[in-house]
Amino acid sequence: MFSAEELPQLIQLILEGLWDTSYMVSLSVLVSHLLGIPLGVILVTTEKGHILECPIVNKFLAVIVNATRSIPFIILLVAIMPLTKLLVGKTIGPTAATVPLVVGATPFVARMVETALKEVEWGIVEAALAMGATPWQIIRKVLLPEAMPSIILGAAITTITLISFSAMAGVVGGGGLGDLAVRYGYYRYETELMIPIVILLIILVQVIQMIGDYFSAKLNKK
Amino acid sequence: MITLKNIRKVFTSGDNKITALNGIDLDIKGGEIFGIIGFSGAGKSTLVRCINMLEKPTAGEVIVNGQNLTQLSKGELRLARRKIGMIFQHFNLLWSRTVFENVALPLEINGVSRDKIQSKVNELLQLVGLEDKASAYPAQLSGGQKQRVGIARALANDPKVLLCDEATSALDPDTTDSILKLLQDINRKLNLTIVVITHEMHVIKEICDRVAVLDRGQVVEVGPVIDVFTRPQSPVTRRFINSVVKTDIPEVVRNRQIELKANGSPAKIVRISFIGQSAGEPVITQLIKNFNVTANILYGNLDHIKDTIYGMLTLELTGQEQAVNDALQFLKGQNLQVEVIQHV
Ligand SMILES: Nc1ncnc2c1ncn2[C@@H]1O[C@H](COP(=O)(O)OP(=O)(O)OP(=O)(O)O)[C@@H](O)[C@H]1O
Ligand SMILES: [Mg+2]
Repeated sequence: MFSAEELPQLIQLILEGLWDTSYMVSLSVLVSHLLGIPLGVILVTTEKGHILECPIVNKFLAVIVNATRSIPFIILLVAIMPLTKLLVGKTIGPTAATVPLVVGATPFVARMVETALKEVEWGIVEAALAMGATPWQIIRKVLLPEAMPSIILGAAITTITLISFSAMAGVVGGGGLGDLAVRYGYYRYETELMIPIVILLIILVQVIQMIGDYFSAKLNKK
Repeated sequence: MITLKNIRKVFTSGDNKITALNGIDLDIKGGEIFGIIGFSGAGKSTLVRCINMLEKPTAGEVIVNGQNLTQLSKGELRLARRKIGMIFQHFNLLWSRTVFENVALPLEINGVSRDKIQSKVNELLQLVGLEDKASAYPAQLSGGQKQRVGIARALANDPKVLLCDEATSALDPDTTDSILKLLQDINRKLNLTIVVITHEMHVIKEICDRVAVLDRGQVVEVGPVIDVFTRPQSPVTRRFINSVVKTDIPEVVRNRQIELKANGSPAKIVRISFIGQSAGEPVITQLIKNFNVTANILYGNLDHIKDTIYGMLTLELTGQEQAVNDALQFLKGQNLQVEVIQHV
């Protein structure tokens, strides 16, 4: 049981956890989209009959994306520690945890973006081709803007998934709310800390979903 | 303006080979509205898509505005396409862009400056009568309005040619007519060559100067609409004409013909077409006065093909065989288009 004088310290712990989680998740959402959006675009446009048809590149990327996606995150987390060390210089802390999060989320984002782009009617792409648009113009002015409402919904899902992944990363030394919950709740049976953390996570997920829904609906003119 | 030389297109899917176009030769003149009509699967869309190379012909040459499109590099083809507008059955507008932005897209693609885009788009929206919808999104427009946006967009880079693939097939009859009228206006104002693909004879009749009838990947008939209308050569053409002008013979009449023949006074069913000023009535009066025949009017119709008035009269001529033949000769001599539809 926590005593009254421990309360400020508890709040301090939770706030730190919240900050670490937010930091890990935002950074990995950002980087995984910076990598995943181009990857998704290439996956779609190199398909047979599409504007940058190139079966070799398409097959190659599809295999990589599928392979990465089929590795359970907890295994990925451990397996890429050497890479993490190379990139960040250490394997613990929120920044280090971002590396496996990005590696895990990027193929996920790529598939989300791929699905979103495939929802764009082919007729619209053909209209742009008939105008004499270059592949790059089609990607930038047609495919991405038309798919944006779906891409944003996908980004909300990715963010939510990354929150749960970040809890796992936390266990391996990443910190954050997940780490806190496991340390206090699981190892020390102090459930009093679990409850506010769980509530906080629920609120966080709700808020992210709401923001995603809001912007997606705002951009969706269909 | 557009020359198609021996165009063939074969689609291969697995072991299956579908010959969609089988040796198409067409010459479309500058400034004309050229119709291509055919039933579903005839190859119309494939053909029109060959004109801007959205579909690469398996063989043959596509020459537009003096340029052989089949021999261009990718970059050259993109430049050539900027001078060939296209509109679609389902409009294919960008949902995420306003009407203004949709019309601006081809200009952006062509690297036109912001100021010029502004004035050009406004000018185009005025041309198609959508000035007040500039900031609306396509989802807020009716089908006819969407097609007007499509037309404005297609005209943005001042093309020499406008391709229309079933541009009115998704619209109701009134809206269809207003879009057809707009196309005709543009054709006159801008001296634009327009290629119209359709399965509706009505569309051909309203705006086209010449028409090609496509059947199973081949042109079975081509010529001025008025000629094709009054002198159809192929069964396919007849079927299309039937859809706008009644030419089939009702069962009752056919039975009566059999009866008449049995009684020794065979009848002939004759369709007379008169074009422009040539009037039908005195001819019929003379016919009855001068020949010993009776003329029973089965069907009469006065209509127009584009700007030309034309009429059709279907008669049943009965009498002695010699008299009927003489009467026919007389009709043919009157500068009328005479066709014996069915003789028993
Ligand atoms: N991409 C394709 N792959 C395989 N076959 C095709 C393809 N496009 C068209 N075809 C075939 O080519 C033939 C002509 O098709 P096309 O779409 O040109 O006909 P259409 O006259 O436009 O018909 P509709 O009035 O139904 O639009 C059809 O048999 C069709 O199945
Ligand atoms: Mg078609």
